[in-house]
Amino acid sequence: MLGYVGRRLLMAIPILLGVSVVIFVTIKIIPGDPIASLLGPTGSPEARAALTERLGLDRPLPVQYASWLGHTLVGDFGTSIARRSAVAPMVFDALKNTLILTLAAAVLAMILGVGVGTLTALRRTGPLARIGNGFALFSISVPQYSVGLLLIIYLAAGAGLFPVSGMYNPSLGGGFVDLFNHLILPAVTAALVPAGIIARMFRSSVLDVMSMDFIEALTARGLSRRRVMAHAFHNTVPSLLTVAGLQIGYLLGGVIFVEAVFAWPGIGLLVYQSISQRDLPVIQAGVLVSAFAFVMLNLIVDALHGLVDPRIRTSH
Amino acid sequence: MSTSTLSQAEDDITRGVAPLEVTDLTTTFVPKGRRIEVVRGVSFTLRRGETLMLLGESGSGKSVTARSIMQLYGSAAELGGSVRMNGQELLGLPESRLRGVRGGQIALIPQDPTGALDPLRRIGAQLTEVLAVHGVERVRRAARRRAEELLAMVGIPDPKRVADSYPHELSGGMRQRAVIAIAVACDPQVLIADEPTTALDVTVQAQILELLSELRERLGTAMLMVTHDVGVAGDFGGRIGVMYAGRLVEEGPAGEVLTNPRHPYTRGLLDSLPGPDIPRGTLRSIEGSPPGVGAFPAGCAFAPRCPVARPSCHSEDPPLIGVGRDRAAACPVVNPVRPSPGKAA
Amino acid sequence: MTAVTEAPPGTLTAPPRVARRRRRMTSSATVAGAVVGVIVLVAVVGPFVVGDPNAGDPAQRLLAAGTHGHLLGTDGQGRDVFARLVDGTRLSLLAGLVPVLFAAIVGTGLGVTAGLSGRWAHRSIMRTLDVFYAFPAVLLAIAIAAALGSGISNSIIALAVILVPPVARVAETETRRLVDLDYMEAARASGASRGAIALRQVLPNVAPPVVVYCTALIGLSIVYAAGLSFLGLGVSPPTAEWGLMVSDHTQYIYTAPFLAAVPALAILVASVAFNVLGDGLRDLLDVRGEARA
Repeated sequence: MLGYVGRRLLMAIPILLGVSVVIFVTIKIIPGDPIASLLGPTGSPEARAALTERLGLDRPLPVQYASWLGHTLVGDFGTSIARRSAVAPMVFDALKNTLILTLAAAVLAMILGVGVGTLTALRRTGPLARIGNGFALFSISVPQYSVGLLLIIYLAAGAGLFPVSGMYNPSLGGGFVDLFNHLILPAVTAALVPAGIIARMFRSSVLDVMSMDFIEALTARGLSRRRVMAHAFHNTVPSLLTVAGLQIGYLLGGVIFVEAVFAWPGIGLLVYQSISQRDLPVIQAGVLVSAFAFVMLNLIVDALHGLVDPRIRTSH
Repeated sequence: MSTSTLSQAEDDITRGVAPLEVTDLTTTFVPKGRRIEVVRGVSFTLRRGETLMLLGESGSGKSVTARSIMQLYGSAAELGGSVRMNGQELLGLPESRLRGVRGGQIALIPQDPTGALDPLRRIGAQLTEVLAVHGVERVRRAARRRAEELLAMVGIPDPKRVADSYPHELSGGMRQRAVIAIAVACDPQVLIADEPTTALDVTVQAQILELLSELRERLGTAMLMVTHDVGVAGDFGGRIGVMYAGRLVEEGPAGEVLTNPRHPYTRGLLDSLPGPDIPRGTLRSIEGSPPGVGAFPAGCAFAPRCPVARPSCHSEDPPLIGVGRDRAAACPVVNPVRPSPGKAA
Repeated sequence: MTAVTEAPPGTLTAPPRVARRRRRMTSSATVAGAVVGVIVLVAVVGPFVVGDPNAGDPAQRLLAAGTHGHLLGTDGQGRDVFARLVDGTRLSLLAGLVPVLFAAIVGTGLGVTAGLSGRWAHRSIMRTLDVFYAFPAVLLAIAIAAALGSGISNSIIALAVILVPPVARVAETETRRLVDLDYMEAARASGASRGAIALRQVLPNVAPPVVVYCTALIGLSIVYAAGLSFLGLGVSPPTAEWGLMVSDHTQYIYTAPFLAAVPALAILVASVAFNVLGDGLRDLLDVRGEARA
């Protein structure tokens, strides 16, 4: 088991390196002159040259990359152009917020998805099944920003049940209840699509397991129906983890729409704002940290998968 | 009542009630309002330590018969007739009682060992679970020891290691042995083996068959083996019941049935086998093909393909006719019924 | 029995196919197909039929639906909502189809090549794909779209790039599955070149799962494209586009909520239609469900 986790960890390193290269290259492609945006149109040629040298923009690209990477690895993400403060604390703070939202959405999505998936697997026909299937279909097709907007209109602004935006109410001084209050609508919005996907995948996975030979064999051994079902559900967990892993990527990325609509101060919103501000260091750091978080989360899911399904450990 | 059943009844009285007595078993699948008959009245008796091989092609209903005895189809099938275990009727028993019977008194060895094991649990755990559920051994350490004993009994050289292994870590032969160990764990009176060697390599097949034979000797278990392989049927000994289109068409000691078949189907089956004394290029086969499940013709199901069929064969169901002691065949053409003096038909 | 002729090397007999019962599409899938057809029709013909989507009359702003001449009312600048919706169909459909088409071609190419290649080539292709997989997809699309600037074509490029890895992975998995089968051995033994194998054996069998997967991706692409415009990264005003309309109409959410709902509903309908169609195709082509990325 440890060997399996170790191997996955080792594989993650070159991937992360590749990620850093892609980010670096992408940033370089962005049109616009960072020097000009820093100095303004009134900069003298000497000032421009000085700044260029100070920022290291005259050095060859691979050197710039190495320098950037080196700094990043020690936690120095540079200084934000727009806010003139260190990028690292900004980015990590935003990441924490995004993770809170992502985790909440993930939990919701799993509960909803597994529930609907089981329901539609065990009841193939009837009104309940149709509702379940319809919900799953609707969930995967819905544009999240629209749902977010709708929820804000009716539940927040309209009915006043929930706060309209943001993560905390500053006048209430933070605290868990306040956070929870602010978390509900965005988490539900973010959880919809993954819930639909999980529901469909889990349904087909339950159906698969139910039709496997060993279910009959277990009954033939004289095990009670409840025990047999327990064995069956145990066997659906591996594929559930697979889907969960895939969904994490979707959640982390799609969360930006939710953050935008609900003004949730997460990393998606940060990157988005930085794009319009052309704040390169923040964009770089933001995307890098997101990718890193994503890879780490996937690693955790893989480890759990290996724990539950011994066949994975030997084949990888 | 046919004379065959009568002579069996005589034996039962002398030997005590039989562990398994199947009378006129019918299995009809009922998917979405349709009715598909697969087993159409099968009767036999298994006595202590006896072996009966159900021999037939795919679609003959042999596997379905075996599974119907254990009532594994649930609400997907309607069962008719009677299945008695030590005199007690099993059909119609509530699930709570059936649970005890399954695995405890009748155990199944399925065809594919890989499909019979939970891939996510170790072999030892699956064994101790069965032991606990049937109340044989609930104490952990003792159950664990018993599990290893069982694995040793089925010829596994390193029981401790295998008990700690997952199914996918074992070879096909080992897996089948583990499945057999689970089946005999609670000392059942009847073992039902459904094509236990089909999914295995040829070399392993022989070993498994030997193991089953050994167990049958050692534990005195009655065995019902389903197979389509005439060679296996011949080697394993015991009695053979030939099935065709959901019915038993011939029954008797293996050696006799295979050397002197009394039903045209059995004869055709044996004739179609390649052998050393058959001249080259003349493999004979039975013309036509067996009727599809649920589409059985009236009268004898084999009549359309039978070389000796009479007009009455197409309309009258042939009864199982006794042919001497302990033999029966469902063909009035080959075995003309002679009224026997003094015995009620 | 027919005589066996010697097949010239390189020509392959068709792979053994299990006789497939002719499967029919479920009724819901047929309905979805019809809806998709309507969408396409609207996209192609619509702009010629409705009025100018950009003709705005401030005096006529925020008219309710059904007002004379305006089937769905007017927006904040007096423009006919229905006309804008119809006009935007073309863009949304393009943004849905083009990236997926690109990803289908490139992704299948990469996936099949990886599946048929030796260890080294396979490794390098899959590792490169893994790097792209390490990004949360939407974030990458946003980054690329931002890097390239605004405009629908840049959105399309960004989406095309992020859709390639999932398609490639599906194609690779299916190819690996086929490669293990015996008839591939036969093909190789008969001396067929790898290219021929790819074309004649692999592609026809890999195509159905890929097509099913891509149909679902179309729905996703439409939603994402609209999302990019919603964030201001795709189309710029005053172009009529569904995502932009959602973002635009948000400000009137209290005074005219119906306005905000209309483009969102359009996106939803298109997305659902393509998804259901994808499901129907999967039933029709008898493909096992693949995990959605």
